[in-house]
Amino acid sequence: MKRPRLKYALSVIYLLVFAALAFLFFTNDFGLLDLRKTSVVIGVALDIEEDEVVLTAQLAVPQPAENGENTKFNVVTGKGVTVAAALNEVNVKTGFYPKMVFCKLIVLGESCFQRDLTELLDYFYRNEYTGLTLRVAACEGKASELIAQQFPCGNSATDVIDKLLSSEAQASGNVAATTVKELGEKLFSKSACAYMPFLENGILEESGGGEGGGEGGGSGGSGGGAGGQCEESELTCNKCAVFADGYCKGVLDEKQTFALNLLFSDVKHAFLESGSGDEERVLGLRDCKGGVDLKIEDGSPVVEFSFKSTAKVQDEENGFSTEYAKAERVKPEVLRAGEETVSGLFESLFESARTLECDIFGLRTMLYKNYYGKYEQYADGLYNDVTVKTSVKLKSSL
Amino acid sequence: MNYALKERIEEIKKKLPSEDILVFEFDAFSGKKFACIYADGIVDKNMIGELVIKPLRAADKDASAEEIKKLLASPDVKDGKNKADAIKNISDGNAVLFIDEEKSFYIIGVKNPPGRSVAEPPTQVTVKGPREGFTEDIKVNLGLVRKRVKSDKFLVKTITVGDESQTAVAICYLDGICPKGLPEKIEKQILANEIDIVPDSSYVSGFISERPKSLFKRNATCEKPDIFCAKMCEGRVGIIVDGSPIALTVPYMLVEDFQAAEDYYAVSYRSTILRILRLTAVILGILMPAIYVCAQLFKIELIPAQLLFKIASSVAGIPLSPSVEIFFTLFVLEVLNEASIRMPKYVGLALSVVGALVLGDTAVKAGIISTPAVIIIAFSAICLYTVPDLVETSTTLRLLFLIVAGSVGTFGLVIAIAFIMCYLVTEQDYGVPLLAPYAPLIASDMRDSLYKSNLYTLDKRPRVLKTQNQVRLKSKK
Amino acid sequence: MKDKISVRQICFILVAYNAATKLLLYPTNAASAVGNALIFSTLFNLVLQTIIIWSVSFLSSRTDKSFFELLQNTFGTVAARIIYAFFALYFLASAVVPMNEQQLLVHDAFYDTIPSLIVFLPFFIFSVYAGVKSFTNVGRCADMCFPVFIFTVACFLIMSVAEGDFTNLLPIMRQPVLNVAGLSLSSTFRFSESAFLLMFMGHYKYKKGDAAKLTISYVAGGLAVIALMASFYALYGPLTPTRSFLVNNISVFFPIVGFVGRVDLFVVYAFDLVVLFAIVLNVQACVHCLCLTFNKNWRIVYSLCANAVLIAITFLANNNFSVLQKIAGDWLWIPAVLFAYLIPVLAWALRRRSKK
Repeated sequence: MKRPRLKYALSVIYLLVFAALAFLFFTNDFGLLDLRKTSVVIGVALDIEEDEVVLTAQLAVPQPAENGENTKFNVVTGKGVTVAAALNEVNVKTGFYPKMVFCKLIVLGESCFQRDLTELLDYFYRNEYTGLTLRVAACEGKASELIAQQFPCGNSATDVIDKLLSSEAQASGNVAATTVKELGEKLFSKSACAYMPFLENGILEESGGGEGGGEGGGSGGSGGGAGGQCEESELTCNKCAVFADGYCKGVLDEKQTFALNLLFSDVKHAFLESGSGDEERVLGLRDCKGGVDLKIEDGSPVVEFSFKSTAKVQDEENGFSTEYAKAERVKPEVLRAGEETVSGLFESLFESARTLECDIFGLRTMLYKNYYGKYEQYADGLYNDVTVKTSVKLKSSL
Repeated sequence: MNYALKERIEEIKKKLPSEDILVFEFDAFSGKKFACIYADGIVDKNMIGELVIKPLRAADKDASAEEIKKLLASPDVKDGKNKADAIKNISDGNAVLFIDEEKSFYIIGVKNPPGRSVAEPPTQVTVKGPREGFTEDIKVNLGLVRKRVKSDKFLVKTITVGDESQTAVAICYLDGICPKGLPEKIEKQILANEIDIVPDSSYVSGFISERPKSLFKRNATCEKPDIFCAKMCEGRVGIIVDGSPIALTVPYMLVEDFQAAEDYYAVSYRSTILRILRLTAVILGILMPAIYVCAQLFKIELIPAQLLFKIASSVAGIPLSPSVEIFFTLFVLEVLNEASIRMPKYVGLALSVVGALVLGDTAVKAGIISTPAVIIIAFSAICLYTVPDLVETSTTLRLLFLIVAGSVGTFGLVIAIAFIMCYLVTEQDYGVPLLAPYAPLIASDMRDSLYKSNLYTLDKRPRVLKTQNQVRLKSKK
Repeated sequence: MKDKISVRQICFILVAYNAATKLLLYPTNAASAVGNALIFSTLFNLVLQTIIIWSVSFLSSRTDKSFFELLQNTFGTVAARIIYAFFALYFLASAVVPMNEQQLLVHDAFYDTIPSLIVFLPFFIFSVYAGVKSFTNVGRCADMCFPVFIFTVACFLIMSVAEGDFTNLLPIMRQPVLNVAGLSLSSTFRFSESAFLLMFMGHYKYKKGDAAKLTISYVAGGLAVIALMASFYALYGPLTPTRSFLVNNISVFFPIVGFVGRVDLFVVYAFDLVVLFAIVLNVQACVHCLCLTFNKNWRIVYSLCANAVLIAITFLANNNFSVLQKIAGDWLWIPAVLFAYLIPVLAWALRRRSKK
């Protein structure tokens, strides 16, 4: 008798569970957020105003469309003591809960340079719903203005900046892109130093061309200002801002940024201006391999900047040289000149790091990891005590 | 006892008063009187005339019952035992011959019920391989099997089920291969049930299952004699039910449904790819609507950003919640599916137009349902039909997962999958686990599971079936 | 032999279930406690438990009796039942931490916002259902989970190894030894598989070399944990303590995730299937012990009771995860040492007859 009763009880339990599920299924309200009640944040700009964080979020607002996609991009600003508080204001203003999972960009305005970066970005490190994959960039002026800018073809500012910081752009060696994770890793390391791309937004007519010395860095799209008036503008990001102990220490110029990228980025194809006067030429560098190594030799620290690549002359000031152009070989003296240029870039970068007191090469971290016993001894005066060596090897691509 | 012809006919007519039970009385030259009783419509009257009446009429001297039996030209003549036997055989389609003043009577096998000829089964169509399919006639079906298995080990045990239908059920197996005691166990299981009618093999399937309330299929079914024979040779027992073109094979493993007949006629790597494709399609078909609902309601991150914006554009303005929208679309699909099967063919065409265009296109245009919902449900339906034998289970599971996804969300979905996994591992039939050879893992049996090895490596019968003779192939190569 | 399980299935349990529950909050906790020395603490626990695992599996080669029968032979039925009652409590306690970590993982990986407790409750329906299953079915579930585990761990490794900077694990062994030892001690309860092996004793037929197979399996599972933990730390470095779950965060930097979205979450969900079965193994072991304690095969009743306790704990511990973790870290090592280290070793002293 017991078994049928148990089976009956189980059947009733199954039925009740199913009924409960069906009820939940059709009522569909658990205080959760679905796609239709959410605003998808694709990028945020952070500025500091009167000691408060001003967060400007670029929201993607999909519009009803029968075929394909129809997304409008709106910009909403929130203010608060922290990023979280500012985001909450965005929620209050829109009625939509801002979802950060698709946020791919944080732009920091110049005003943020005076604030501890780790403190400012704390929300992103703590929040499990925000990935650490989002890119970070700094910009001149106000980040909120940059992100609110309209770009042609319906491109949002976030999309345009994201393209500028893409891995394709990084492969040219002009953009020192970084993510929240990389930034955090560096800032919380023994070096406590990090860098991020620095965006410059200029009006094309006024600026009259690209930045001097920029090796073909990313040039942005153009956009229209408020009121629908189209004004050609140019967005560039071939400089980078360096931070130490959470605070901005300065902005590296294009050449230093390029050198930094040759050392740390996965550069696939870069252009290098070398030589001087009549001998000026542009070398195309491929298969670049750069790196920094710290060693203790004879009781003193030695830093070695190494770089290897194949080179090919792209164009020359003197014009076409039949002798070498036929075989497409690069003259040894041209290669030597190129090597000297790269070495010079590295040395200049090291000097800047020393002057700015920024361990952008992560030398202290290297010392801690590889020479733990010597860390205490050398860490403080490392940039003054270290001997700099460069090992640059360019070879002809043929 | 009175063996007068008139009285015996009356006795039979009393038990079988139906008008389609015909009695043909005739005299021989010798003056002996005979009566042939049969059910109209299911006997071959020409055969009665040629093989029974003609030789008996020609008999010119009085003969005994034994001598009369010898006169009959039919090769299928049996002695009748009693009245009940006579009635059973008449109902079964045989003719019964009574002789005036003789105790003996004869049963003549002239059964010829109306039926289809052998044709390719609609649900197991093959491009490569035999095309013959079972019919509703048990004799034809047994013939089709016998045509392929000429071994003396091939044994058929026929039993009758159904008090009113008296349906013949043939239990087929290969002696010396099939696990000992299995056919007897199955026979016992079938005979343990008293039912009025057994119109189809699915009834027998219910009888022989050790897990009759299972969510999953209870036995393997097949409509093709080549598959039936192959499964018998693996050590399974085959069951053919009179009146059903669908034969059963026992014990059943889930992996069987992912194996098509054609897999054995194609190259092994192609078969493996197809089997994995079928499995993937079924999993996708079952889970896709649920995942779509989960992604919209609970975990937007599951959708890539660009696709999300497209979906968001499509669903903006839809009055139904994502879960109800999918449920509604699924409901419409099931209704269309049900109607298209039941409707006459000429109406079916119109129904397709109404279903696809009017309901689908217009509902999307009117903003009642979104385009992604239609795509998801349509793709899910197509996916599930890659394994037609599993459609009953998979559609139920799809609905179950959808309700779980729409109510509890992504975690509920994972719990439901774990639940199904746990449920599946406990299911077994005649000692054979449903998930074999994966749970429990039997490495040697995996050569013909989702992975299909080449013929030379399939030298042993499935270990899980515990066959008497394990070796199936000895190659001198 | 009743309730049969095969050595292969136990090996799968030792590989998959062993690793699954250790890959929830443990890597993050370990990283916060000892930084880059997290793998050494794990390695220490792993070595200790491996010795015990070997000891128990070698004991199986000396007797075909179950652990209960050994206790019965030595101390009598009543004492054996009492010991099994304590084992039942221990298994129930062992389920609490992974169950609550699973609840946190649900919050993080399964929903965009923290859902109400109600969404976690279906776990108990599953747990009640799976809890009544015998060791035969436990083994078959392991057969199903093993390939899922291998696939998911391979995915995690492939998606993380190339993205990580393994110099983050340097300098080696520079963390204070006391911290590492402290972590090892507080994590002892996570390394307690030998208790399960004691329960499986007598339910599988020992063949020559099985002790080695079982031990190697356990080591393989442990190495998978260490490899993933190393990869996790290599990926996040000093940020590791900010990431709650290894499984949820380890593959986000893989390029394909950037292109097609969080497809890695499907791998996380598949991995979670293994986690669910690993957690439920505690309930199954608890039910097994209760069956022997009360000498009644009321599996459904025991499963319901065990889950009722777990539900009560879930309600009490809801939003108090850190408190629970603290209690577990501070106190759970005591029963773990007793039931998963001392008793398995002392089992050698139990009276056993020669193998049939």
